[in-house]
Amino acid sequence: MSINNVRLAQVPIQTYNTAAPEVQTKEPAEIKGDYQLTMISPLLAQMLLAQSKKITPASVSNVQGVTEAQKRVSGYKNELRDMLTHNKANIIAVILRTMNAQDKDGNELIQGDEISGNFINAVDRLDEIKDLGFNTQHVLPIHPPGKTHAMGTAGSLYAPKDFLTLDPELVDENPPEEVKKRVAELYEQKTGKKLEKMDKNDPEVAFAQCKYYIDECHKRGIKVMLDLPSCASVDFARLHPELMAIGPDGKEKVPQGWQDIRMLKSFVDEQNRILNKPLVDMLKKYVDMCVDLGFDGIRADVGRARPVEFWNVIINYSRAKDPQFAWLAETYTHEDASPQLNMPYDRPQELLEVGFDSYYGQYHNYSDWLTADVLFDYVKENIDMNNKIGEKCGPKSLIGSFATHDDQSPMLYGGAPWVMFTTILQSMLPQVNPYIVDGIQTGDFYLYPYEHALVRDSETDNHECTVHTGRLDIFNKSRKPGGNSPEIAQVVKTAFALRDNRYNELNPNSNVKLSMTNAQDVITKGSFIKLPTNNPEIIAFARHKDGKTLLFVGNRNINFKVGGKIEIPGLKPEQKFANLMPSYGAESKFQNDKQGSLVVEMGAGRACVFEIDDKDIEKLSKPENVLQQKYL
Amino acid sequence: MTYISPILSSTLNKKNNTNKASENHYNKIYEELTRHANDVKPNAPKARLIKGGPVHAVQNTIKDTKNFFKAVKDGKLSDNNLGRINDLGMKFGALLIASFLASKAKTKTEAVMQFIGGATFFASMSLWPKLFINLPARIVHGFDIGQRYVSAQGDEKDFFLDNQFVPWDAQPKEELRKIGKRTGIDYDSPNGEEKIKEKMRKTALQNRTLGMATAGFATPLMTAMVGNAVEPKVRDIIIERVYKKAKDIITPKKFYEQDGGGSIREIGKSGLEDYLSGAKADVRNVDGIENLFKEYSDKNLDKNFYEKLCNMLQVNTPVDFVKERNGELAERTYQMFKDLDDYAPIESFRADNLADVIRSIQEQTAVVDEQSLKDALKKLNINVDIADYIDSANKAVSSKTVTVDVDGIVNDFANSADKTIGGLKKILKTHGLDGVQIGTVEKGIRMDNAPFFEVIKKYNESVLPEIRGRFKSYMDLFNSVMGSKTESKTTKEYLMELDKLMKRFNFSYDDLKEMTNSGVESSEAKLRLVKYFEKFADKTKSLTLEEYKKELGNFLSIPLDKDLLDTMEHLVDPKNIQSITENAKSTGDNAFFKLLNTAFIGENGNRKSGLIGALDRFKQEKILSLDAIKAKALICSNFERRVESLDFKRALEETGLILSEAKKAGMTPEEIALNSSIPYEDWIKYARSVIYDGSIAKDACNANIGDKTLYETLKGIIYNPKAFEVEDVILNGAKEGREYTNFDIKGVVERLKNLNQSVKEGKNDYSRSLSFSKAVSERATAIFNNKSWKRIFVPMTVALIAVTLLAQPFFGNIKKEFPEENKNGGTK
Repeated sequence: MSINNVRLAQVPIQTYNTAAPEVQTKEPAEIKGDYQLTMISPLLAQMLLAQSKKITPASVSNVQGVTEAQKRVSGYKNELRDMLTHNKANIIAVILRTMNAQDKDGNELIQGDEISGNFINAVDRLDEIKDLGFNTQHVLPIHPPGKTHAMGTAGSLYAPKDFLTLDPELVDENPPEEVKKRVAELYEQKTGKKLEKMDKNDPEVAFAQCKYYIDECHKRGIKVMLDLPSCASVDFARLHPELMAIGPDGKEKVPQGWQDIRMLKSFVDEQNRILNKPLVDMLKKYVDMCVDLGFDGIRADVGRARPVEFWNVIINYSRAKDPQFAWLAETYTHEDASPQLNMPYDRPQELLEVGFDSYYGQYHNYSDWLTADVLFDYVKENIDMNNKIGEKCGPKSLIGSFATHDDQSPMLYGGAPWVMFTTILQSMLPQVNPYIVDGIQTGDFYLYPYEHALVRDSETDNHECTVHTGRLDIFNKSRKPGGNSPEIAQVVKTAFALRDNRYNELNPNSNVKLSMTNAQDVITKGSFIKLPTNNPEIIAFARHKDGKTLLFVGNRNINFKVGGKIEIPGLKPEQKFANLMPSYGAESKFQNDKQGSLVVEMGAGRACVFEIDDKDIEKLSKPENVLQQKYL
Repeated sequence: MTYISPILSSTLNKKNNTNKASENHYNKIYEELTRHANDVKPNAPKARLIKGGPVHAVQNTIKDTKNFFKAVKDGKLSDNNLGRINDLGMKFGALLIASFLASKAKTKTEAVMQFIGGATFFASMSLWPKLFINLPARIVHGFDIGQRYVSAQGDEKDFFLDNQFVPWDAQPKEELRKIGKRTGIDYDSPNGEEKIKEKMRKTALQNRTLGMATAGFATPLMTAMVGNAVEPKVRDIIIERVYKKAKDIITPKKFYEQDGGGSIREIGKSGLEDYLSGAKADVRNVDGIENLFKEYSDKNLDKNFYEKLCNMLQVNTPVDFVKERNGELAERTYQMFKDLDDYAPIESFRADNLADVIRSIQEQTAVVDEQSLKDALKKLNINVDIADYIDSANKAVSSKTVTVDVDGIVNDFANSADKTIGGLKKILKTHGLDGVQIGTVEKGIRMDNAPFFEVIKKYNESVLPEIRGRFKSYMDLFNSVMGSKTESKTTKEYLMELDKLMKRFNFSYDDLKEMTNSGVESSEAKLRLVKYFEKFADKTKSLTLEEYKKELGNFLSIPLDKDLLDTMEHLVDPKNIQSITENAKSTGDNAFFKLLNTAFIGENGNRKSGLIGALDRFKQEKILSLDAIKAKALICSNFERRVESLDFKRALEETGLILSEAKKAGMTPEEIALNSSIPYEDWIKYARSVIYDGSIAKDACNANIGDKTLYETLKGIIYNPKAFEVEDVILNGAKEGREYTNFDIKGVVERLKNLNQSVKEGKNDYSRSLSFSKAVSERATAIFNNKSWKRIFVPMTVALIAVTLLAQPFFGNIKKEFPEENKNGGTK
């Protein structure tokens, strides 16, 4: 038996948190060369071997080291990969340079002595985020933006001038004393030098402040993912021509519609699929940087922009450093869902197989899915894919990408009711980690009064405040995200509390009590049961596990009240229906017809969740209506 | 316990070692990973290329239709399929529009062309890019820019549909290599594949852009040109079909083999004619029939009934119950009893019955004789208590006493040849009975014959609708047969003759048009015509008249019969020709061509005077057979129109009127004809002129033929038994004038005279075909328009095609090499 067998791709993946399984014992093998045999604990070996699954050479296996971040925050450990794959991450996407910006004059643009968002003041919002139930942050890129051919007055977040440093504009040069002290410690740990001055031009200061921010997140139980841009700025391209993709016309490749960025060259020889080593090297350093800073994972912008061979190296390398290092791919389910010149197809399956834990999918198109069946078909498509590849690479998930920073604010589609509807929906869907862009939780329309205004002071070569209408501003230093619909936050909070088994704790005085003790399991692991209705606009499904059942009923129609009948197999005549979610919009009525159906009349965009006593719902439903995500 | 790699073990052992050591460790892992980066491969593509073709297109349309209904039913449909429904909508929409336009079309050709036009439009939309964009691109660049593929989601799309997303991995590498060879890009050169792809993408984009830019012109142009080319063929096909159909329908054999066993013939000939002639008058076993009806008075008529009835009526036709219910027997019975109103013979009725009935009337109007009345009622099967009635009747007796000569009436009727109710009524009148009294007698007689009327009633309820339905189908056929002026066989033959003439003189239709315009002084065509006639005149100088006529026929390349030659004799007399040519030499073109115009085209307002007019008449003669068919069809359709409007009686009356009139007048048709002061030839000529020349006055032709006399004339032709044998019989008969025996000749001739007057007054606008000169004129205009149209659009089309072809070499150009191949990096 050669050492290759020790790589043991056959060993089933086990989650980090599960109890130690029986370890498969292998016969000792003849080891050649410098290899030697070492005994390690079964638990560790099992985990490491599983992690090393993707790595071809047997000589390379993952190890679990204690990361620097773990050392910095007592009690913290990275579980983001497990959280993502097991549908337990509640994600908020934030832009640090605006996250807690202080717009004094109300023009929504941060100018003059107004303070933009930075690593330090962002910490002030962490308690609020935690309170809402978010346990994961997707931090949009924090690298210094390129200034040439730039979009907006601050430069696009996705046009980094340098991947391996942080935007000095995120540095707070005058933080409070206790923060300063902690930052200085972090600075010294890394550089071995005393921090003389909180100078934003010293890259290590930015690193130290970033660590401080991440540590504060970790202290609150919030995991942090950093956004890895798929392309680079024009400035970067000029400095690193060897990394840039050149088109057959001899010019640098530009992703259509984004004149401020240039594409990176993944292959040096695409026909033979030979990777561009300098680029891989740079991304390897990027991973080093992320792990060092304490990030728990990476969100890969336009995941399809890099080939599987590339991710095979980078993801596995990151896992060697931190087995729980999570990877989220921005990629859609259908290969031509987001056509873009010079970008390859979307094919999530191969990205998931190569190591990504979760992907975007296409819930952002939900506003076009006018009937329940379209949603159910999509849910099925993804669960089928998971079950197909799960044996090989474990569970995979989606994020509830009902609105991302690339999409227009859902407030523009259906206002607060629509946001609340999709929030409750995504919190109840299987194989989904709820995802909300900062500001949406209070109803931000992302409409900026300075859109396309020309301003004198610009940090880039562009004096126009570029804004994509209705979308979160990623080009300028804008005001803190947020709107005037605090009721959405209440819905977010309640929905996430239900997912996190904190429902009763959150609502101690409520009349509606949850009797099941592990709603989280029902939602994240339970089966998904499509319930027949006589109205295609009524979304009705049950989540069921171990005899416990949660029922989701929603009116997809955002304009009108709808009525209908929902068949609930096994529904007891005496079953009462008490909505676990906050009430909003028009009153909705529910009546048990005592013949196995729930008759509903729902206000526009209303979504409700009920706990019902229906142990046999799964058995009594038609098999084709029951979906179960496997390998969880 | 397990075994693990040295690196791992090293890591574990060095858990607390320095960062540097740790870095080295991870670097080793990293290097190892990069060495094995290619151990994973992208997943095989789900998308696949497909081959198109008409079958595939049909399959797609079926699939789209299914998807449409599925979407309607379930509300489920992918975006792509939703988009495709748009195509489906266009196709169905085009079909609907074509249907609507077709319903408004004046000719069958026009109607059919609506559909052909729609289909051609879609075909053009598809063919234009295929033939003039994709094909040249394929020839020049070596690949199909119209390639289709099925995406990973199962949607069928154009491979180059989205310039921003081309599913390259569905394209086999070998194919790319081939295309590379064709386009001069070495696949194995650095970035060779990418260059090939870029060239393809660019070529496709440019070609698709060109396709879109030109489609707006090209599609309608192609549609129009294809439509123009196809239309004459379509018209020919339609004309031939219509002609064949007409012939089939009118051909006696087929006509009478229609279901129902030749109703028209039976009704028109055997039925009414035989009945009226009295040949079968004695078949009515009245008592037997009466008893039969009594037997069946309270039950449904069954097979036995019909069989018994057939026997009684001496109908020898084998009785098929099912068939007969709706067929011959029903018609025969109807035929026999239908005219009881006036013509029903009552000679079989017992004289004492009649006497009783009449007596009862007399008694009613004078002193009521109770016993006589009782007897009469008994005979009439009326069982009522008459005591009260007698009382009141006696009270109502007027002082006026009428004496009715019952015996006289009975005797008169017995001796009368006319043993019909009509005849009886006349006798009653001569015996001084007033209207009321005559009506009473008639009623009495009818009461005695009630079961017969019952038969008629039943017949009307069950059989008539069937007959009506059958006639409806005939009528539809006739209507479809008739076509219209522009697509009749006549017009077609005119045009064929015209084409021959044009060819003979090497005239274009423009020439012809120009020649008809006297304002134009000279033209190439005229000069050619001059030469022809000069040549002809030279050649025929010394010929006899007969030789000349023969030569003229050859000269014109048209077989000339006697009539035509007679007509033309004057116009193209050698002397005239000579004088014409001499005149031309001395007086110049203008005068000469006026003469030529007169000769060929005819003088203004007198189209028939020229050669073309003569040809027109010649054609009329030539196509007599066709017109005979048309005439028959007209009459048949009119007959059926009567039936259609439930005026069955009138239809039959009209059919048999001539026979009836002849009989009434106590003359045979032949006798009538012989006694007429107008020669047969004249009225035949008139008849032919209105039938065949289409010169009947329009206002006399409401709905087919509104003129009753003419209609009857034609009807006579149709229902003449001998005329059914073959078409030629009619024609010969028409010429000989002997076969038409059943005419009210005087009336017909008078009527025709009037019509002839209408013709002279220029009211002759009724025709089922275009007149020859009109056809020439219209043809000339059409050709001229076509030519003008083509003059503009053909060059435009050619230019478009040229652009698409010439553009190809300029498409898909990319820089041959990257400016500088990147030599850095790589893990190789």
